[in-house]
Order: sequence, then structure tokens, then C-alpha cells
Amino acid sequence: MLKCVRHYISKKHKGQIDIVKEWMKTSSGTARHFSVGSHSNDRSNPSIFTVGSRHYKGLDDSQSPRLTPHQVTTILRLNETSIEENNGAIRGFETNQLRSNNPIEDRRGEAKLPHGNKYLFGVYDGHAGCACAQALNERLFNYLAVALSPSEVVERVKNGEIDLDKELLHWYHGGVEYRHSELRELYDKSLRKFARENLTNFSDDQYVPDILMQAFLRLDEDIGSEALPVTTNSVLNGNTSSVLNTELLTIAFAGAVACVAYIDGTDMFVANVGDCRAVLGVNKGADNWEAKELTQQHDANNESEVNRILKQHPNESNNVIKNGRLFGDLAPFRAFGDVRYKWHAKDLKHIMNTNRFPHSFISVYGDKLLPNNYNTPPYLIAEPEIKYHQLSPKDKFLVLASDGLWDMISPEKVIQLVAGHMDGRQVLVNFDLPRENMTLGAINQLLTQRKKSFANKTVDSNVATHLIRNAIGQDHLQLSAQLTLPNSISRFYRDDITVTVVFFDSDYIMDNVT
Amino acid sequence: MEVKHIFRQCLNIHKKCAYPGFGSRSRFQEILFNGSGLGAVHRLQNSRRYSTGTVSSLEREAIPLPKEARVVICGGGILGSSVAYHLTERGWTDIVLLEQGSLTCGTTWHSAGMIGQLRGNTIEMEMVRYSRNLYKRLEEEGHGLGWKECGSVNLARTHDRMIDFRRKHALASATGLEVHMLTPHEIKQMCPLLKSDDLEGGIWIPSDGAVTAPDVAMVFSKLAKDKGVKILEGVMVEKIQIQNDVVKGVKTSAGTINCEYFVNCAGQWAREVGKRSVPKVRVPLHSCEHYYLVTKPLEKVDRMMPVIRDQDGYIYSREWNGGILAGGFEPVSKPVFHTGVPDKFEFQLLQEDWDHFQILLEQILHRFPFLEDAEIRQLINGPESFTPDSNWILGESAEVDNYYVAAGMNSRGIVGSGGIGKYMAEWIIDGEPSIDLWQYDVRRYVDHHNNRQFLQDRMREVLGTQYILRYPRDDYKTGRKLRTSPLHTRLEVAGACFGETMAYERPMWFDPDKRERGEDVYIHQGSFKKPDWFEIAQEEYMACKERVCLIDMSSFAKFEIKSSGKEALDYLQYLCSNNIALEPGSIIHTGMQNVLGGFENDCSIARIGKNFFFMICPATQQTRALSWLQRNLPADGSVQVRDVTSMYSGINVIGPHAQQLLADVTDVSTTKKDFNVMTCKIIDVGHAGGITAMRLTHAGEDGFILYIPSEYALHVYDTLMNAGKDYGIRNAGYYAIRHLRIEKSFAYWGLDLDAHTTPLECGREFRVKFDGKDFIGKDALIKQRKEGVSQKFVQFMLENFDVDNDVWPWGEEPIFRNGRYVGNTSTCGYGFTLDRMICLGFISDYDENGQPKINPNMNDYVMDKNAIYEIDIAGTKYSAKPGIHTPKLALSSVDPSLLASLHR
Repeated sequence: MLKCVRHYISKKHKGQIDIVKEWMKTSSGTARHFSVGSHSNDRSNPSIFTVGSRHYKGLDDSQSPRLTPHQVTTILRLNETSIEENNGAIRGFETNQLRSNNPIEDRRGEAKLPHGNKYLFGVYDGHAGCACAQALNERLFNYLAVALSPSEVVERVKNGEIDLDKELLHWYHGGVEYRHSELRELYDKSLRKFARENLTNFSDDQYVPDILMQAFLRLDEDIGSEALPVTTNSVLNGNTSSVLNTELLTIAFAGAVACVAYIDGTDMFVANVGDCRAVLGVNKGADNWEAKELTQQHDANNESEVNRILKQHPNESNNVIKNGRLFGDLAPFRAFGDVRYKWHAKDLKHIMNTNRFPHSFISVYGDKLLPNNYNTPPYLIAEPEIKYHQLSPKDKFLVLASDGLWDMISPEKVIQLVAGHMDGRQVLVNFDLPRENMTLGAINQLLTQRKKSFANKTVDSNVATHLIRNAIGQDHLQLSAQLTLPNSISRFYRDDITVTVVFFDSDYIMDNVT
Repeated sequence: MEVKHIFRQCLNIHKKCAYPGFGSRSRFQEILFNGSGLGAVHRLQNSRRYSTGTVSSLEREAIPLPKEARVVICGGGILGSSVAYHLTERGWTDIVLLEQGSLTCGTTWHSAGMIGQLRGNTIEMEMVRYSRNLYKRLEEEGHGLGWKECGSVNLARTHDRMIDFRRKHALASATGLEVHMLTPHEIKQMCPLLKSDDLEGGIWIPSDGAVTAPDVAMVFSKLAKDKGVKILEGVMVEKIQIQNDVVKGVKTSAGTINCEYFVNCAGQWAREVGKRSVPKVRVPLHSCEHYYLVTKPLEKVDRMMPVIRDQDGYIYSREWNGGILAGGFEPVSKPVFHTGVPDKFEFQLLQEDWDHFQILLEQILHRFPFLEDAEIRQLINGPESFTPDSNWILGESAEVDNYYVAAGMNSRGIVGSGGIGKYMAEWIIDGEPSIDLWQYDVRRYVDHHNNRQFLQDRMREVLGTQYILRYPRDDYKTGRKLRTSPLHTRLEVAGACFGETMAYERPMWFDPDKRERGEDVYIHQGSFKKPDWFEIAQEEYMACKERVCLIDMSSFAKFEIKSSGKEALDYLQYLCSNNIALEPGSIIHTGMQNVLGGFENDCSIARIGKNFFFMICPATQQTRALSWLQRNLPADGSVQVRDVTSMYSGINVIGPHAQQLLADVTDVSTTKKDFNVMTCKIIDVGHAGGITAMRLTHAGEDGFILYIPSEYALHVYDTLMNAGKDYGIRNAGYYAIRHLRIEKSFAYWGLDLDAHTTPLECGREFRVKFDGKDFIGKDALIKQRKEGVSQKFVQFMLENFDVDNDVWPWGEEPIFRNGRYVGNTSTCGYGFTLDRMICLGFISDYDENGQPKINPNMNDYVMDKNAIYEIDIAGTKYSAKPGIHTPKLALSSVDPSLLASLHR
């Protein structure tokens, strides 16, 4: 199906990349590991860190760059992927990620449903560690696939007759990397259960937004119920292991926001939970571009969200939103996980009483695991806002990105950069006369057109990398400084950035739009 | 009236010749344009894959490689063929020409073949005029090289370009080339196909024309072959065998030939060939992409359409096979073959880069709107080689005797090859060409010019300068700031505005405001009129005359010559025309003459010790002087010569206060009694020692030049600057010196003097020691003394010259005596004391054939009271007053002992 999967990091460059990887490892001083309850996210714990004195030794990075331009480029391109698809409305997509937290707390996924031209693109931004985002990446597409697939496929899922990674979904760039294969059995069981229930309620004319909504909510529910000890632990059939328990609790107490685009033919649905954003690049003719936002961010800046919460918790207005955060703590007003704001107080207290290990996921909260004045949970929902958009030939691309990008540049600027990049990319190909017997005037016209595009020629052929480069620095000094920030302070300058840009085939849309 | 008449003639020719077929279409054009066109040419698809040429230019004969030959020529392009042909014309026939591929297969075959005679200087004009006349004659003799006398029209879009044309018009018409200035209306009449409403005007050269380039080369080789030259194709030169720095033979892919002379005509391969000998020979050139397109035949195009050059739009065009051939020299070029030119590149082109060509295409369509509908036949991207200063590389190498080079044509190979072949033959046979070719001499380069990275950077600019308007004394913008003196940064901060010579950055004048205005202090806006540094140069000039200035002279070439016995003295006595045998501590100005008595070099030699000499000469002499010194060294190795240019910095302490200032910072007495003019001492300045102080300034003012071991230069400079505050010290640049010396009529080598001018011709007989010693060139000078000279160095003061508003003289302006052309100016400048514009130059009394007459009373001829002199500056003739001695007024420097400041 995949016509061309190109990893820009070719073998030739692998040696160089290994060196940089090694270098990054040593410079950050921390080996990559799956950290439990990472401390380095201000989204849930704004007060834990302050920008203290910076203990720089040696040269001032703002005056003399620590990295060479080649190193900067290698680091920026480390995670980039370009997929040329040319199938249905999807011409292809390009993604990239740049970490600020160590390890990165963003995740992303791209997959195709084997039945029909249906595509899923997801961006997840975790907080209080990457555990929840990781779980979303491993599971959300499966839930969506079960909800969206024909009944015979769901039937096979229910019976455990299907290889989820190969038959239910076609994942791009190697598929999902599972962190805990021992959890997969539990995940599969939950999914089979979902499939079973789905089959009972199956009907052909279900409304797609409802299907998506259902999958989102069901996954969040499963994340919570799997982690709740004693009561639901029975699913493990007595094989209760404290390790497993801890992992499940880690996932549930961590949180993640998600933004998923589902594209079926020329129908596009964007389901959003939290503060990632999806913006459509609409060409209004010539160089005139519109940045059409398909999501609303669920946070304190969103008046309707504030009203929703205050309405649901009418007598807690002094308490529930403080400093623009839920309980003065959590920035997004919708998220997966974060059971601290979802479970009953008694369940939370139970956890506090049974988990007293100093290094466990809840130790950072200490006695504050249960927020003050925690009266009417749940305060937090994983219910997505879903937007439908019928693709038109003017829609040229969709940008999905975590707030790490949007914090740095505006949607308008992003659309401009992508449009410019598309334009500049044309000139990367050597010009040949398109036909014999051309007149000089006609040739000159073509060349003049190309000449304009030269101004847009960029360093990075991957547009996601291009966006990240432009987001974090105007010049080499700035880029080098941004990429060498010590772990302890990096998060105060920028967040993890994840960008996926999906390019549309206008000709296909033109022919198929109804 | 006259112009119109010629128009009519021209139009008649057009009618007569309307479409007589395609003329002599050579096989090379067929390679280019026949068949499917695109398919037949072996194009370089990418930088790694080269296809092999399958088309042979001649029926290859299996000539066995001769064992011996007098001359081996490497390269079967138009240059190699022309040199071979011209050697046979002079009677040398024992010649082997080696071509690694097939004749003309390198770059000759895709040359556009335009023969334009309008050039910026008399020498090149003479060379290309010879080429043109030769091609015309060969065509008339039935050799078929596609010559057509279609004339050419150069267009001006700007006022300054018109000035450039007027300057060339003056030079051309004075030397007998028919040229006409055109108005836009006249251009329209003459070439109705081109857009003319945005033009300032143009210039028409009726006798210009065009040839089919490879045919010219083939005719040369055929004629040479008929006279016995052996031409071997498919033979590669592998090694030039050298013994005692003299050519001994050539090792080739087909065996070895012993030979006396080797001529490197390898075109864009010449730099590589230069490396195939020990010692290596510098041939600084680099290939660039060069583009032109050819259209399919067009009804509107007349075969005799003149060649059009729209240099302000970077483009040229000519008729080609009933269509238009149009190309150009874009401002920023694309150098190619940076890591070496492929050995196999026969009849090949490079992948065309349409985007790169667009800037030219746009201009072509702008100038020839009718081409909008023309269909393209092919876009040609052929590599051509260019040189750091955009001049040809000719002559005998500095490194190896009898090793000659003729390469680096800068897209002027076809038009130049005739003249170049002629003078190269003279050079090889006579040891010296009959005209001065210093500006093309391979010895004008130093090592850095051959640096590949430098070449690549410079070439981006050089290709475009073929057409971009160059102002007088324009420097290149690329490859700068390479050689700098230890004072450089100090001077930069002090506001120095730099100019480059031999890659050395020299302060030309000081303008601290220029940097503050945000302007580049290395790149200066040129001008044909009063330059923006004029007022500043005047201030610096006055400061040199009335107070004291420091001038960085570090760029001068410096040499040490020594021996254990008196060999060094004997050696220098033989090389120099002046007497070197003075007391140690004295300095002498002397020429080094060639056998014809001409200035091989002009230098100052200080006798530091009994057998130890320090020699100073112009920066441009660095390679040439060393080569001359080494070639004439005694074979026994008793004399050592060393280039110490980089070891010493030079500071010129110039002006009436120099004596006292130097006294303040050193322990020796600087009074004239103790430290006389033209003497030198090793002194301390401040805390620094080992400084060679010479009492001379090269500008006719009092002062000292200090040659300082480079690590002390900054200390000495600072010491002098501090001590000089109360003397009103300031920095000065080269323009101050230039104006001081021009006013005093001092000739400088390389600017006024060359290998074809003698001391007797420039009033320097007093610097020639005829008695009691033998020296190179003595016989020639004795003959001149007896019979008289044929040219004379003269200083002219212009009358009625408006220095603020008129176009300035910059050199190469024709000089007229009683209405007859007698010579050109060499250097010009304003005399601030005389308050006159001053031009220096040589004049001759020409006979009817244009040959200079030997005149025993040349001075009388020059100074004849009834003679009326005029100098034509861009079309305006100014009357000029001649002089052959330094004007007294210019020498009126004040004696420092009379200045009040000394009685503090």
C-alpha cells in the first residue's frame, strides 16, 4: 500500500547520527529511560521548579554557538519522516518531533485503515510524564479502528483472530513501539471487550462523530478502571503483580491531551481533547492563504470551557479554576488519564494509603494527591470536541501539532511557512523543458514563475522540520542555544514539539467532492 | 552625414546577402544541431558520469610519436593551433602538437565566434585587430572559416556606459579603427528588430564580424600541418621533463619526446597540466558554466545582422544558421570542475541549468521582443575557463625556462587567438614579444592566485565582469582581505579605504566617515569623473607636503641578495644599469634592463653590507623579479636570492617633519648631514630594533621608509603616531603618493614603464652607468644614445579642464600632436600644487605605416614650441602643455630646518 516510505535519515548518515545521539546523551547527562512520574512538566506542577540560578560553565551560548550548523540540522532531523502516499485525498504527510522534556512527553501516530481510504493522524501531548501519552499512542487508534471498521473485522477482533498491528491498522514508519509488552495482554482484553459491545450495538448508519466520541471515552474509562486496585483488578485473574499495578496507576495518574484527524475520502473529522491544535491551510488564490482552525483549545483561555466547568461545579468557582488551571494545577481542561481529577475521593485516598514508596508515581504529590476541596468529581473529562470538515480543492494541507509549536508561532505563520515550503520545494527539482518546440517567451514565463519560488527554497526538505526550525530560532546562535538547553531548564524555554502536516490531493478532492 | 552613408552601405549589404544558405556549416555545428539535436551531443548528466565522444574531428592518422621536436604544444584547441601556425609562419616547423582527445574538442567547438575589436586598451585592440584581419584574409584565400563581416553594435543603457563607449571610441579612432557613436534612433534604423527606446545610445564597429570557431582552429592546424607540424590526437601529456629548470622533454601516453620548448595551450586543463612538472607551473584558471541559446531559423533574421552586445543586460547575440544565437555573462556565475576537469570531456556539454540561465533569457527577450515567439533549438552550457583578473595568461613561466603558457581565455579565445599566436611565436623565437604584454604575463601571479578555493570564489565574479561596466581602478569584490600588513586592523579602525594589488590590501585613502555611513571600506563606487576620494587625497597630499604622514608600504616586493665574496655585487652590477658599487649604507635607484634595454624591473637597492643587498620593487614584480633574479644567477650557487616580502612591513614616514619625528623616537641623528638622502641605516625605533631605515619616499618628498621585521611593525607604528601628535601626523594612502609622484613626473614600473621602454626614453639616462661596467641591455642603450629614441615619456598639463565636472583622464587616452595621434596616456592625476590635471605618457613620431621613427632629437620634437598637443578624454579634446622635466614648482617642498615647529 505504501508507495514510498522514505526515511530521510539514510544509511549513509547513520554514522553521523549515532555520534550526535551519543553526544546528546552525554550532554544531557541522562540516559533515556521510561521515567516514572517525571518531574519536568510544569503543566501539573507549576510550583515545583523555579528558574533558579543558571549554572553555566564555559562560554556563553548566546555569544558563541555550542553546536555547528551541521549538528543543529542533524538534531532537528533526527525524528523526521516523510511519507508519499498518493492515495485518495492524501498525497502524503510529513512529521517530526523535538524534545524538550527528557524523555519527550509528546507522542504521535499515523495509520491507515485497510478498508477504504481512511486515515488516522494523531498527536498526543503527555504531562506528569509520558506514560499516558504512550498509552494513548498504543491504544487510541485501535479503539477508533474497532469503532470504525466493518462488523466482520470487529468480529475477528472480538475473537482475537486478528493481528492488530498489521490487519486492523497499517501503521506508518514502523508502527507503534510498545513500552510494556506485558501490558498488551490486558490492553487486548479490554479492546476485545470493546469490540464485543460494539458488535451488539452495531448499526450501519451510525453517526461518525458519535463513533469517535465513543472510542475516546471508552479508552479513558478503560485506563481508569484498569488502574483501580481491588475492585477491577479481577481482570488480572489473581496474577496481581505490584509492578503491573504501579505501571497502570502511573498511566492513569499521568495525563495526556490528544488531537486526532480522521479522513475518509473527502470527509474529515477532527477530534480534540485538550490543547493540541489542528489548522487547515486553505488557498484562497495565488499567495493568499487562510489558516482555518479546526479545534478549540480546552483551557482557561476558552470561555466556553470555563463556563462548562463552572456550570458543572456551581458552588466551587473560587476553587476549581485558579491561576488559569484546574485546582491551580492542571492547564488543560480536558485530558485522558489524570484520575486525580476524575476518581472518587475515597479511591484516591485508598491509593494514598497503599502506595507509600518514596519513588512511586504519587510521591511528587505527597499529601496533596487529593486536591483541596475535592467535592464533586469528576472535574476533568476526556470527551472530545469533534469538528467535521468536507475537504474542498482549496484545502491544501492540515497541520496537527502539540502546543509546543503553537506557543512559539501563530497558526497564520505556520500556514505561511508550509505554503512557502511547498512553493520552494518545486525548485528542488531541476528544470527540464516540458515539451519540444517551446517558444522562448513560454520558457521564460515558466522560469520566472520558478524564480519566485527560489525565495522559498528552504534548508529542510521535510516541512515539519522546517516548522520546528522556524519555531525555535531565527538564526544559528538561537537554534544552537535552544538545542543545548540543560534538561533542568529546557522546559522553561519551550515545550516538546510534535508536528504532522498532511498534504491533500486537490485533483482527487475536485473529482470526488459531493 | 557620414554615419548615415555607412548605414546605407550596410543595408545594401544586407540585401545582397539575404540568405545565401547557411554559409560554411562545419561538422561541429552538425554535432551541435543536427539530428535530434539533443541526442547527438554528449551531455554531462551529472558530475560523475561522463560519456565518451565518438565524433572525431579529423581522420586520425597513425603518426608515430617523434623522438624529438623543437617545440611541443599541448592542446589542440584554437590556441594551440594558432601558436603552431604562427611558429610555422616564422619558419619553425619542427613542432609536435598533442591533443588528448580530438582537435577543438574542449571548448573551441562550442564557442560563439564573435570577433569584436573594441577593447579597453591599445594592446588588446591591436591583438584582436590582427586576429580579425587574419581571419578575413584566410577567408578570402578560400579557407572557409565562416568569416562574415557583419559589423557589431554595442548598446548603452546608461550614461556611464556611454562615457565608456566614448573613451573607447576615442582610443579606437585614434588608432585607426572605424567606429561610430549611435543614437537610439540610429540604432532602431539599423537594427529594427531590437528594442531601443530604453537606450542611451550605442557604438557601431562596421569591420567587426563573426566566424565559425572550430573552423578557424581547423584551418590553423591544416596550414600548420602543411608546413610540417605533426599533429597527434588522442595523446595525453603526462609529464613535462625539466632539467635545471629548463624544459627537456615531454612524457606522453604514447611515449617520450625530447624538446627544447613546451607550450601549455591546454585551455581549461592548463592548470592541471601546470602541475605535471617539477617544479610546478602556476596557471591560475578555473572553469565556469557559460550559456547561450540557439533558436530555430527565423524569417526576420538576416544573415548579415550585426553582432549585438547589450552589456548592461549582460547579453550578446549573433545570427546563426538563420536563427539567433544569444548568450551572455551573468553577474554571478557558476564555477564548475572545482575538483579537477575530467580528462575525457570531448565535444561534451554540461547539464543545462535553466534557472541559472533565466536572468539572461529575460534580458534577451527584453532586448529582442520578437524572440518571444521563437522556438528554441538548443540551450548550450559549455564550460569555459576564466582567470583571477579576467586577462589572458600568456608568456614564459616564472618557474621553468622555455615553458610557455597560452591559456585562460575568459571567453575571448576566438577573437584573441590570432594575435596571441603571433605574439607567442615572437616570444618563443625572439625571447620577447614585440609589444608589451605584461597585463597578460603569466608572471603577474603569485601562489595564492592558484589556490583553488580562491579561484572558485573569484570566478563567481569574473565571468560577469566581461560585460558589467568596469570603472577605472575597480577592484574585485571577491577573494579579498587575503594579504594584510600587521598594521591592517589599526588602519581599518583609522578609516582606511583599501585597494588590492597582488592580493595585498593597501590603504588608498582614509575616510573614517565611510564606515560610519555603513559603507564597505573594501569596495568603492567607481566613477569616470571626479572620484569621491578627491578632497581627502588632497588633504593627505598636503599633509605629506607640509607636515608628516605615515603610509603603509608593506606590499612592496622585497628581496635579499647576498654572497660570501663580491659575487653578489658583480651579479647585481651585471643585472642593473646603474652603478651598485657604492659605499655600504647607500641606496641606488636602478633599472634592470632586458637585452633590448627595456625595463625588466625598476627598483631601489640598498647596500646594507659589503656583500649584502636589500632590493625593493613594485608589489606586482614579486614573481617576475624573483624569476629574473634567479634566471641570471651564477651557476656556481655563490649568490643567494631570497624573497623576504612577507618578513618586513614597510612604513613610509613622509613629509618635512619626518626628520625630526624620527629623531624623537630613535637614537641616531637624522639630520641630512648624518643621514643623507638615499642612504640607509639599521636603527631602533621605540623599543624595537633591526629596522632598516631608508631616506627616500618614492614620492619626491623628504622622509624615510622603515622596513620593519613584521612583529615590530605595530609597535613602531604606534610609537610614531604618539610621538607625531604635535607634528600634526596623520595616516595617508596610496593616492597621496600617486599624486605627489605624478605631479613630479616620476614614472612607475608597471604603470608607466614596461619591458619596452628604456631609461633613455623616460629621462633616466642619468641612472645608467655606461662606463666601467657591463650590464644586460647596455648595447641597446648605447645604440639609443647614439641614434636616438623612438618614444619619449612626457608630462602633460591639461588646459581648461574642469576637475569637478569633466570626465577624468584615467590612462589610455589618445594624445594628439598637431592633430596627429602620437601616443596614449599611462597614468593621470591631479597636481594639487600646480593646480592642473596631469597626464603622463609616452609619445612617438609615427611614419606613414604607423611605425615610430627614431629621432635623435626627440626632446626637440616633443618640446617644439609650435607643436600643439591635445588629449582626447571621452570625446572631448583638451589642449595640453608638455614637459619632460619635473616642474620646479612641484619640487618646492619646504626645508624642515626653516619650519617654526623645530624651534620649540
